[in-house]
Amino acid sequence: MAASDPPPTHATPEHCVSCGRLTSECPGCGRELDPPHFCATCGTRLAVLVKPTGWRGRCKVHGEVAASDR
Amino acid sequence: MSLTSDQPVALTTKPGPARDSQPPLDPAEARLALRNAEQALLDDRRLLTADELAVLARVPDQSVPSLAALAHEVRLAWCGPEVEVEGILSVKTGGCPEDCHFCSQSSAFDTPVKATPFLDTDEVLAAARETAAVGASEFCIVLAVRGPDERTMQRLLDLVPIVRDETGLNIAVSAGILTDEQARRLAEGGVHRYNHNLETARSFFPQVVTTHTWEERLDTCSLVRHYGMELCCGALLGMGESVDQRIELLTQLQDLDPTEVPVNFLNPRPGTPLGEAQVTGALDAIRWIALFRLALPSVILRYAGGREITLRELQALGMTSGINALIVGNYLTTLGRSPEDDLQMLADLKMPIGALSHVI
Ligand code: SF4
Ligand SMILES: [Zn+2]
Ligand SMILES: [Zn+2]
Repeated sequence: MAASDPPPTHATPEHCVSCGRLTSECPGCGRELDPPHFCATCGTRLAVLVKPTGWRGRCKVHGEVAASDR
Repeated sequence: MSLTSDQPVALTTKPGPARDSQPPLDPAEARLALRNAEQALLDDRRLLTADELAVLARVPDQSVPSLAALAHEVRLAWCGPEVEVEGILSVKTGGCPEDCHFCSQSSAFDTPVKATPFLDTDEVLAAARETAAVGASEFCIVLAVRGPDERTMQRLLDLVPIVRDETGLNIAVSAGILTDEQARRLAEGGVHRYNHNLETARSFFPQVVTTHTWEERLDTCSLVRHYGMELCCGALLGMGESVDQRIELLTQLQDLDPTEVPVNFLNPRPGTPLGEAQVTGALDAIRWIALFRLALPSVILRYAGGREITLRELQALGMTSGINALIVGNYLTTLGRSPEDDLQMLADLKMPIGALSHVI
């Protein structure tokens, strides 16, 4: 994560990262080999960049909330 | 077509295994069909006919390894041992006006994929450099569009030489339906290969796409060839098409004679009409990879989307069933297995990595 990115939030995830619903309504519906598509903190749809060798998800409120280099 | 009550009824929204109009061959018939195919492809070096392919499609499950072994021999005889490695990148994701029922990037369906604008050149370059670093020779720039508008054309024509010259990769583009003039400009602009999939047989296409026709896709494929770009024209299996329709697609691909055919298996995408479809079984996938090779002996046959969920631990078997190219790493909106796993697989199989082009 770059130094300019916002500090990671330590709040308990409240939203399913695959459908955006509250975790009380969806304990996890993610399919194999799907990156997260929703912010765990606020449930907003993420702008996801998938590259051959990595991916990252950016929330318009919380910045880059998820990333992997594979 | 009439269906008896014990046949699975294939609905577009929930396809199962491909429906076959005829029973499997018995073992003796299967051996004879394999011998005839071997004679045609290895001794006579001629293409198989639709009827011959239809017979081979009916070998029983226990003969699929023999079918795969023949396909591997055909691949080695017609293409050699090299495997071409490619990375793909979605540079403009989602918000597509088309309604391809399998696609999470269509704006017609409520899917988790958020539309994002054209990536910056730096981001594309970084992804291309990382792709080159894992041994790829090909990099495909993909856009979720019906076809490119003038602004998109300009961005592509700027981007292609930059990425090519900075990385040494061959640059492929996939930007939908092209006009004659657009095809010419992309060819002149250094696009090495253009991807435009037929996806499925002409007779099945209207069941999965209503916003454009199969013929429009064919027209773009013809323009690509006309202007001297290599044509990459793939298939997506497992959408509810029948065995006969898969054979139909193979003969349509034989007529089109593309340089490359990426074979995708449906990875059902949440929110799309095919979102709850059954995944193709592993042995069925091997059967059809082999049949693609036997139908298209000289083509670059690429492992593409869906192989991880379809084949799981049988992925190495696909490499000895006719495949001679693969997409490495992640796909457009979904993830693949790690490039290291694929490179290890190729090393274990003693398959050298190299750039390929049409071989006859
Ligand atoms: S044209 Fe391409 S991006 Fe658009 S919906 Fe069809 S498959 Fe998806
Ligand atoms: Zn969920
Ligand atoms: Zn957020």
